[in-house]
Formats: sequence, C-alpha cells, structure tokens
Amino acid sequence: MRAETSSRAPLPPGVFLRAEGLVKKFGDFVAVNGVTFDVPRGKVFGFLGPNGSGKSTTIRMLAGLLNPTSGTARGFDGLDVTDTERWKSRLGYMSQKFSLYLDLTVEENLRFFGRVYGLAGLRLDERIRELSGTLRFERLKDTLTESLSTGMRQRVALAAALLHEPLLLFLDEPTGGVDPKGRRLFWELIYDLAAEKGMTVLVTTHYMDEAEQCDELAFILNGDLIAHGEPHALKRGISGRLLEVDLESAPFEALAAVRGAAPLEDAYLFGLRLRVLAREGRVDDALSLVSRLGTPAVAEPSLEDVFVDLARGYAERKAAAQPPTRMVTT
Amino acid sequence: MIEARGLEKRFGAHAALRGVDLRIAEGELFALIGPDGAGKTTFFRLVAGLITPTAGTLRRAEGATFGLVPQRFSLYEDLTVDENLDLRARLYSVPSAEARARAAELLRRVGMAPFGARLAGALSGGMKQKLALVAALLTKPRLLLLDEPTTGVDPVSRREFWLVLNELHHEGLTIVVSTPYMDEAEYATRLGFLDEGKLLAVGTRDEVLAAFPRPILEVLSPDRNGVRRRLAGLDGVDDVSLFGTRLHLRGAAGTGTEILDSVRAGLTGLVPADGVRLVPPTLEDVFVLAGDEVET
Repeated sequence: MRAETSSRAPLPPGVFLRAEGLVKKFGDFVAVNGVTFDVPRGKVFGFLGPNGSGKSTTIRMLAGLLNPTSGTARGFDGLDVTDTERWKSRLGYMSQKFSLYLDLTVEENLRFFGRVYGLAGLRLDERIRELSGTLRFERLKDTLTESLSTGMRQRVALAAALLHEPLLLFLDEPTGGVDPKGRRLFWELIYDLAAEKGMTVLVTTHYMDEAEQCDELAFILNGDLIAHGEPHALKRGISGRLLEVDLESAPFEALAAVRGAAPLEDAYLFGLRLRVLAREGRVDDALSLVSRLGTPAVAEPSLEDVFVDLARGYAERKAAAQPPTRMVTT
Repeated sequence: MIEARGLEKRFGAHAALRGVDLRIAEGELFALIGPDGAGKTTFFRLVAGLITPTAGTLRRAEGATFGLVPQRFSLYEDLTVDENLDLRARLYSVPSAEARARAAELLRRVGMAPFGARLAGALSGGMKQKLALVAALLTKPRLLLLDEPTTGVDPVSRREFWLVLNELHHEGLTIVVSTPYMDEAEYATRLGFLDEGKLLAVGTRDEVLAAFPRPILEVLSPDRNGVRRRLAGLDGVDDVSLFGTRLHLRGAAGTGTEILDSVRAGLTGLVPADGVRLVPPTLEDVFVLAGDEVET
C-alpha cells in the first residue's frame, strides 16, 4: 500500500467527512470519476445530479457499502472508510428503496432493525418511543407497513436508520415518490436533526427546490463533480442575468416567441412564468425582447438555473476537450 | 373522452377510489395531482382497462384508442431503442413499414434520433421516459395517459418533455397526466386534485386557486429555519412551510391582514417588515392544505 503522508493529517475541525478522489468503475464504465469534497460538521449537505449521474454510487462508497476502485473517505474524527465495521456503526443509511418488511407492523420492523444494530431491551423500547414521537407515526405502530402511504413508510425507514443514534445520516433520494406535503414535512425533520441534535446529513436529491434547503451542495454529472459550495455562492456564479415575466396564459406561445433569440442564453417556463437568462452585456436587449410579453422583473436564480448553467458549461468543456471524430473541416 | 361516474375501486379492505365523478373532454390536457396513495395510478389503470371498477362506471368515448406511459419504466432494458419499438409495433400489429416510419418520426421529435441502437437500459432517466412516450404514441392513439412521466427526471429533460406534450396537445391529442411538480400542473387546461380516493377540486388553475379559503403570507429570509421556529405556535397561523427559498405562512381564517402585524412583530430582528407580505395562493398551498385536512 502506498504511503499517503499528506492526506493523513487530521481533518480540520469543521469537516466531518472527506471524500478523496473517489473512483468507481464497473467494467469499462466509469460511474464516479475522481470525486473530492468535504462535508461540514452538523450541516445538511446536498448531493445533486440527475438519475444515473453517479450520486448513489458515491453515497454507497461513502457509507462503506461499496468499495471504491480508487480513492478513499475519512471522517468521524479519525476513522477511515476501510475500517468498515467501526465506520458503519457510526452512520445511518436510508435509500430510495426503503428496505422495510411490508408484512410486519411498524413496531416489528423497528424492533428487527434495532436488533440488527445491536440494540435490545429498555434501550430499544425507549428509542422506538422517542422516534415514533419525533417522526410523528406513534399512532401507527401496530399498523402493517404494507398499508402505509409512501410518505409514512419513508418516515418509518428514517426511524430505522436513526435507532442506533448515528453521527452522520446518509439519505439517498429519501423523498422519491413522496408528494409535496410529505416532502416538506420530511425536510423539516431533517433540518431539526441537524440543528437540534448536531447530526451531519448527506442527502441526494434531484428536486431542486429541496436542494435550496441544504447548507452546502455538490453537483455531479456523468460521474464528474462539476461544482461545490453554498447555494447563494453557486447562484452568484451564474453568468448573465435572469429575468422573469408573469404570463396570464399561453405560456408555450410566449416561450416560442423568444426561444433562441440572440440576447438570451436560455429561456424556459416555470409554470405560468417565463424565465430568460440574458447573456452578459445583453441585458437591455433581453429586457426589450421580453417586455412585449409582460412586465419583466429581475429574478434570483434558482438552483435549477444553477444546475442547467453548470450542465451547459460542462457539455461545452467536454465538447472542446473531445472534438467529434467525424468533424468536417471546410 | 372519459367519463367517470361514482367510480369506486377497492383492493380488499382498502378503498383506492371512493366515488369519483369526472368528465374529461376531447382535446383537453388534464393534470391529475394529489398526494401519494391518492388513487392517481388506480385511475389510470381503470381508464386503461387494466382493472375494473368495484362500483360506478368509467367510459371511454367510442373508438378512443389510448397509449399509456406507466410510472415505472416498462420497456426491455436489454433491448435497444429500435428493438423495443419494433417489438411494440408487432404486439399491436402496426404494419412494419408504417411502424418504422412512425418510430423514426417520433424519435426525431423527442430528440432521440441518434439513439436507436442504444440499449434502453443505458439511457438516462429523461431519455427512458421519452422512449416510453414514443412507444405509447406508436399506435396513433387519440388519448394519451401519462402516470408521473417526469418524476426523477433532470430539469432540462423535464422541460423538453413538456414541450413535446404541449405540441401533441395542440395537434388535438387528449392528454391526461399526473405529476408531483406543481409547475407542470399549471400547463394543463384543467386539473383535478385527488386525495384519499376522492376528487377534492376540479377546474382550471385559476378556478382552483380562487376557491382556496385561506390567506397566505410569504416570508423572505436567508434563515428560513430560524423563522420557522420563531413562528411555531403563533396565533392565527396554522402552517409554516418551506417553499424553496421562501416560507409560506397560512392564516387560519380571514384575509391575512389581521395576522400581518403580529407576524412582522414576531420576526423583529430576523426579517425586515417588507420581507413579509400577503401573496396569492399557489397550487402548492392547495396541496399542503389538503394534506393537513386529511391528517387531522
């Protein structure tokens, strides 16, 4: 094994987990391509990217569930991910496909998972009572898991991941398939865990409005980490100026009227709002263009704008680095 | 195009749909929204004739052929895009020359022309959904049913998907689509809000919003959780929800002016007075309220 003297220095106190050059290959396919980032202590860290971008593979490596092809992770004040058993005993993991037993009641499920984590007796009773209160499913303890809604199952699965009082919680698309109301409630719970219990949370999602709730974010695309930082800093990084027009009706017609116009980097709909990203130096042209459709206002970019902007820049860099093989010179 | 009368569907003791009356006219783009387990998927399955009603009736217009994009990707991941479409055409006895021309045209339309030889399993989430759409359209249906087609799809693909749906709508196709994204529901000609098997509201977006019975205050603050904690239990406010970078406070009654001052006072030092204002409700507010009323 290679000596890694430089990386053996202790992590700074504000850093709870560090991913160091994580790579995962499945055969020829590079799922995760050398990802490095820090997860701050006691914060909610969002890991964002579309389906198939390498989010879940990264989180599984960080949770000690999958061995990296190369690279490592350190955290929990002095542990290394290769110290698998101790590493795993300190974390909770909940995935998009919660692994609850549908033919058991809520309480039976929690007892089962508690015993897996080595809890028993009064301690286990107490944890189940606490969590069913905090996560608001007390009255459903004797209900068959099968008859719960997805949102409720998700809260039970979260309880199962929290039974052994982990210091770090990994949530892999925890709100997939959950409706807006359930998603919002879930995020309030996550925030309280971080704020009140000092727990560090690493969560993956493809819902950009959820990402707004995170203290820090990393974006991954095709296995590459394309940006990392606090939400407001990422928003400041957008080139150009975002304008928004409230439309009364016919949104697609309004979009068609401006799409592809030279002063605009991008134009899209968000419900009955038209949003356009004006190119740098073309804000006035963009304003007069969209004024025909309504009264434009300068809008704060959303993380969806950040994502689209980053994805565009990434595609351009890729194209520049790898010219198409059949390019014709004229 | 579709008419449901007293439509009920029970699975054992569980009532998935409990008396739904709904008419969807030819040429509509109808959005079905509602929490998980509300009965949306059951409704699609009933319309598609995959299951039969326990009570009530469900009728499709005479000759209303349909295509269904189910919630879960149901094409063969170990076949290529072209092979999947070819198989689908054979299953529905679409003559092969016609099927090939139509598949090529549809793939071009959704921006997938270069991907015919790719394995379906190797497509991105957004492309899988576009392929499912193409497969559903292969038989030239008059009615298109889509059960959460954009869930989990990246933002750019989601936009592209809706551009195509809008085009199809303008060509006269009747479309019924369910979605967890309220911005998408705004593109529909009408929407229906389903909850615990009951249709709680039906109408245009404006009609549904006009019927919303509560005032909404919006709070802008970088410390959204600080605000949430400060306002918990404030008189006259019965919900505080995070809406992306904003918070929405829902008044228990009235027009909202009654609580504006107490909310501002409650947030002194944290949010300036002009960071709190009355706003019209959004579809998300409708959604959150319905969820609360059911939970109690």
